Amino acid sequence: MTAAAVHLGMLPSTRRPNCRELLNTPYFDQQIAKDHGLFRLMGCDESNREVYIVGKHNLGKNFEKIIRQIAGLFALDQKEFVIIDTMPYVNFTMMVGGYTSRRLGITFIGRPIVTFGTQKAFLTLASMVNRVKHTLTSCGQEHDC
Amino acid sequence: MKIIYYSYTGAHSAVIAAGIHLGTLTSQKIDRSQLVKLPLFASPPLLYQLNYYGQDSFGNDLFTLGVGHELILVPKSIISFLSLYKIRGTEIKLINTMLPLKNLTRMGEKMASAGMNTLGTRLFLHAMARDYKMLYQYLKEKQIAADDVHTV
Repeated sequence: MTAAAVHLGMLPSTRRPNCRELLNTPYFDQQIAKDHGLFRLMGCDESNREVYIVGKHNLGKNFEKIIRQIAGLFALDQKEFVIIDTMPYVNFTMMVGGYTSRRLGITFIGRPIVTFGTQKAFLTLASMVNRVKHTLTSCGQEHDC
Repeated sequence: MKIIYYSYTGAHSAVIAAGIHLGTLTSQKIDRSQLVKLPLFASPPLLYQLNYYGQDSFGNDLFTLGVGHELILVPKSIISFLSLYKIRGTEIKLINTMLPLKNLTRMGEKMASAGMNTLGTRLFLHAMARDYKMLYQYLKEKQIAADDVHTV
């Protein structure tokens, strides 16, 4: 969700956001178990690309593997979508905070922890998003040529 | 229409379900040798791999898929993803073959998905002798629904 917010310019990409900025981001620390697995539209970026978020539990790379196989079944263009796994950028503090807030429902303890963890991981997450955007833009230009 | 039978491994109850769908297995009591002879049965490792199983008489393509413990998340993601492309539920059917099975059969398949394939398969086969009719009945209802959609 944080990566999608950076992609869409809802959060800054060059500095750590403060608590208020993070908490004002749509869906931040809001997802519940029944939302997992659903592709939810966060918005469209400056190149009019649709940006979605989806919770995938512990499937890791297998999530993309399944989705790409399904896309293949229906002959969907595999280059038309990109799935970015943000889990490698999630630190232990975020996991503990997220678990406490979402799974255990102790929001008043979990939310400050997950917010702190997100701030700590933010710059690496943001640089990953910038890399992705750069790659997408250069791919798009090549495609246009 | 694409019909995907999914279970923990995609190589146990999902394969049996596909066998029932294609008519390889009948409503009669089955023995272990029939199940073991089914293509892909208990073959490791099939997790997260979509396997083409054949085509039924209505032209529906059958697949099996092992989803590990994500019996809810995976089908939900697939449906949600396809809805982004306006692909409706009439073009794909996902059938959870673990649903009609009792705990012992589930445990057998779960053990197989956790890497204990030989032991899990033995337990699964033992318990499946009892649960087969329930699976058959469950699939009969599902297949009728699929055929209805096909003929519309």
